[in-house]
Amino acid sequence: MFNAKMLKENLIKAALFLCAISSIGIVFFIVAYMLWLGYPEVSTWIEYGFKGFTAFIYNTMYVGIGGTLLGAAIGIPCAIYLAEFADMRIRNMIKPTLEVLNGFPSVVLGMVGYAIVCFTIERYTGGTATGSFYCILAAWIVLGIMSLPLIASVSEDSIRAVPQDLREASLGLGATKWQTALRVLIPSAMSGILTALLLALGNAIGETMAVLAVIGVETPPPITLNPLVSSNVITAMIANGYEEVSWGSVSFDYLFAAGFILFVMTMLLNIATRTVVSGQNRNAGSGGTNL
Amino acid sequence: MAISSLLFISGAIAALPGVIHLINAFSKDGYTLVSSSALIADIAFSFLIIVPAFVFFAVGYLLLENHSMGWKLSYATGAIALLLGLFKIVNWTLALPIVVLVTLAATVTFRDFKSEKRKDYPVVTENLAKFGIRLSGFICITILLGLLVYIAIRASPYLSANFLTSSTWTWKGASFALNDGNNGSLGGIAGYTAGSLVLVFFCEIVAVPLGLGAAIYMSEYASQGKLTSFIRFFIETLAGIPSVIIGLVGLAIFVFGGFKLGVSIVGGGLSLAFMTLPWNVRVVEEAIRAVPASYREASFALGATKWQTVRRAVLFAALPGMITGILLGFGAALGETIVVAMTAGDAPPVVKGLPTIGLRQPIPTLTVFIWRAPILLGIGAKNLSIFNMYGVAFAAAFVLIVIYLAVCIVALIARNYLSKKVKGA
Repeated sequence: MFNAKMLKENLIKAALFLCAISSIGIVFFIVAYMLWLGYPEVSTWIEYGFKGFTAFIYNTMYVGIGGTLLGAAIGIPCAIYLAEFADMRIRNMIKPTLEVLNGFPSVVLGMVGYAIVCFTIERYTGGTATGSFYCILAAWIVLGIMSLPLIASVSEDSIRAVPQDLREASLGLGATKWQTALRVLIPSAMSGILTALLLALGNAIGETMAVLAVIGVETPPPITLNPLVSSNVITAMIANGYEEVSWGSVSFDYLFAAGFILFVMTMLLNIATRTVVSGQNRNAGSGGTNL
Repeated sequence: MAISSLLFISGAIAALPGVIHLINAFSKDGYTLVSSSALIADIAFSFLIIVPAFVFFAVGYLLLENHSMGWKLSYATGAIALLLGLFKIVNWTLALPIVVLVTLAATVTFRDFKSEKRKDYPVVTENLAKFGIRLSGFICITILLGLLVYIAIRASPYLSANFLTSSTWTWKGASFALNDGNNGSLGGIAGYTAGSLVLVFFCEIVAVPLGLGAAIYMSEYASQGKLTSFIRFFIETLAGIPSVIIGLVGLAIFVFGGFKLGVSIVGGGLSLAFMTLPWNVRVVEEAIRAVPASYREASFALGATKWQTVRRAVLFAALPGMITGILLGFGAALGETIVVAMTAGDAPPVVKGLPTIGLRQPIPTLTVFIWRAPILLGIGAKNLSIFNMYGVAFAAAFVLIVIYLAVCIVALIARNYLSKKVKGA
């Protein structure tokens, strides 16, 4: 029987379903375009210079890993502090700070990083009259600041998720709060912390504006462990290059191939994160106490 | 207690010149090359005062049983520094504020620090570890405050009423001229600010209904099976895609390729919507899921249909989380540069009046201005130091940060206020 009310309900349900499906469509569209435009040019990229190919990937990973480790050096102690030791007042001061730092405009961060780190290095070592010192170290510092909130909040969540009876058992055996945190809580929350690190690494690899301002324009970038050299990463290369080349030229397809490589790297990190998360779920099921 | 409060308040007021001095050690206005020894002397001078105060503070907390001793020692160091400054041995505008500022920030994080005193294991390691943990919290706060203060200080010479409200730049030949005596005058960024807000508004018009619809469908209507986890997987993937790639795809779809719109607000808005969608979907879905089942059941018991339940009961209860998510997405879209530059920006600066908003025209944006300003302003400019060019960029960055902070604060306040209201209702 035709019911106007049911028709309205079903229309609304269909509209919402379309919204949900559209998200799949968008991602599918993006991935398909990326693959379609980028994949044929990967061979061009390899031909262009095998050294350039590996140099870019190496530098992207080097900069990303360094930035993530720097963010973890501050973020993980901060997470322990927030989860175990802080009282409500300090939590209500630090958590909004982390939330504001999370979405901070990256172009501003890059500019500030350039103004502080690069110019300081330049004044210390003496630069040229026009330029200033780009370096990987500055990129590490900037990426550390960017990944700090993500690492701190995800690690804090996973430390909080450790069952209370583990803490009580450790304290009951005579350990202090810090010993409990270091030897019991961190190993239990290790997969969560690892997830945080991998997420931050994914963000760091894809970060454009902050790194662009401090990393330089070396093409091909050097393969070295020295952090005081100017270098280049894939995202910065694309951002620098897109306006100078015209659509349809060989160089533009080069950019798409670089984007494709970056996309593949991000996808691999995504899969790694998912594997760690499912490992955590498996372990959490079997890792509780049997009291 | 009263003395410490007095000290903190006066220190907060007097701290700014000292902070400026320290910052100047890192970034002198005008480009001057100094020898490395001079830079080291500069920095050492600044820290000569901080380190003893900090050491006394740490020693007092770590090793002494009487915690107030640590405070007294750091205050004593401050007094000594002040006396030295009064006798012009050390620059006192630097000494007093830095000591008090560091003590102030340290107080916040070390307020209830209790050092352990046990006989059966090394207590110093324990206290050092707890100190180090609090230090990381202190560093977090300092990073944000330091960023804000630095941007404000670098921007302050260029922030004038004209800069904030006008959108006219003076051309001098083929380039801009700053107020450097070459018959130029500094322009304003009102056009860029308006452009940024319009672009993000356009993006939110697309992204909010789409994201809300998807979130409502996933949490209310869909059966909790493969479809929802599928959608969630795709949203997570979208969140992880780097912004340059979305920019490249935006170029391919909207600008040059499929739709051939050229650099335009439509392309920019839609590409930004790609980036904002995960924020809208994830946070809103969590907020909707957090609504207790009793709300829905009560509504059904009163005879409401599914959609009526969702609209009147569930969405109202989930409102705080929803608004927070949408506003945070707004803030993140405001700071997006590369996507905007590739699909909607890189526009020439607004010369007169507010930007023309045509759907197929490029639109000037604040973030792209910050990125390009040092280059734009430097074209053909004479007698300008690098810092002058960056000064204008810092001023624009200051405006951007103020807007971003306003959005963040509104989001946080909305979350607190509305959640109280919903719980109390």
